[in-house]
Amino acid sequence: MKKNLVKSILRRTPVDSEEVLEKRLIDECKKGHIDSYEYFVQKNQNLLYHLAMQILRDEPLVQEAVQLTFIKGWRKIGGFKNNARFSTWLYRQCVNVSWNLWHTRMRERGYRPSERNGEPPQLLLEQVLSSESPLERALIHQEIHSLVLQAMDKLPAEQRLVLLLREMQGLDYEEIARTLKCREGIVMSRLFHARRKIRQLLEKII
Amino acid sequence: MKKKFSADEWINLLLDGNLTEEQQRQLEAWLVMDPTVETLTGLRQTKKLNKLLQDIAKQCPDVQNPDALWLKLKERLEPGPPKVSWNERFLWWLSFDRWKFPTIAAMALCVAVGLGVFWFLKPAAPSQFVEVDHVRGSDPSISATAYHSKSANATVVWVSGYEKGPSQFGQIWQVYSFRPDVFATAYDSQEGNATVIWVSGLDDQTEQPDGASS
Repeated sequence: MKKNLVKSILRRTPVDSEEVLEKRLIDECKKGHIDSYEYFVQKNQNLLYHLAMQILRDEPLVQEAVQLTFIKGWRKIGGFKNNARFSTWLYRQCVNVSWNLWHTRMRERGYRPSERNGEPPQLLLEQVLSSESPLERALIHQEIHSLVLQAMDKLPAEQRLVLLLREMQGLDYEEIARTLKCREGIVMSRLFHARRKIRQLLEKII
Repeated sequence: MKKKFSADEWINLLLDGNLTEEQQRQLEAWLVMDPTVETLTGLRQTKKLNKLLQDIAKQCPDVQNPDALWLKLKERLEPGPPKVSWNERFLWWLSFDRWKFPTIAAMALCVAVGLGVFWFLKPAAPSQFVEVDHVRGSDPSISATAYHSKSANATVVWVSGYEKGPSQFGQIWQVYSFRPDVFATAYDSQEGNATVIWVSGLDDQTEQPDGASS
């Protein structure tokens, strides 16, 4: 489907870059051709899914966040200017949508996606290295990851998001500031405090 | 201009690998001396944690059924051309993108008009000398024009094309032009209360003193 769509556009006018192709597809979408939108869905769904998953960590919620982002994208594409990449725009929308969903659920049910019953086991990271059994090592790894994610959830919301965008999404300070519409200084300050706090929370396992 | 960073920003820059080796060494040396902001152990632990977070991110699975999402979405998308809200249209209408070229063109036009107006309305130098007489000799290349200035109480006789200066006048100055054959000499007669400017080698006979008008 995607290939046919791209081919059909290529046949009409030769395009020499992805950017030109996207501009043409956006123009098609503005005329109401829903099928042209499939290109953007197929291209960006994994990127948005990863992002939403890292923010929400709950499959049904993640699915909803991704769909809402694409629906918002379709609604807004009429006023979209071709001077910005649509993927970048979708990415920022996905941060906002996921963040809003996270807050809504938190308010509604005191929602904590990774909260588990019982006391978290006191593990040492060095155990992973000293363990000889691959299975045991994998389990310890899994346990550590789970503890790290739990600690992330205990951070203040803004600090958690900045840390997530920096370490898990690999954005730089400027990109984070643009995504969250705040100054770089604020991003750096939140990042510093997030790192310090999560380290204090996980002091026993690292 | 160098940007100034606070202590916690320096720590971030270090952890994110944005410092040179020299800067890193200096910062670590400073942390050893003053560990109030951060300790070297703390830095190592944070690096480990960052690595863990990156590992967790790598393990994130892809969408299980990519085509299913599109099918679900297609049902939820509103058919027809997406509407552009009044707000968006209005903001675009006001945006810099829309107006950048007209603005630049209008500014250029204003500058051009301003320069033109300035050029045309520039006040002319006050006319000090008024032409009072013009005499042409038997040789058409020789002519003399007399200018008088009431404010300066002086008369200038502009003689063109004549080789010799007046014998009863004293030479007061001589000016050479960029052409060696063209020069002007001023002669003054205190008795006659007149100055003669003797122009030699100038082809154009219509030259007049600055600000002269008939």
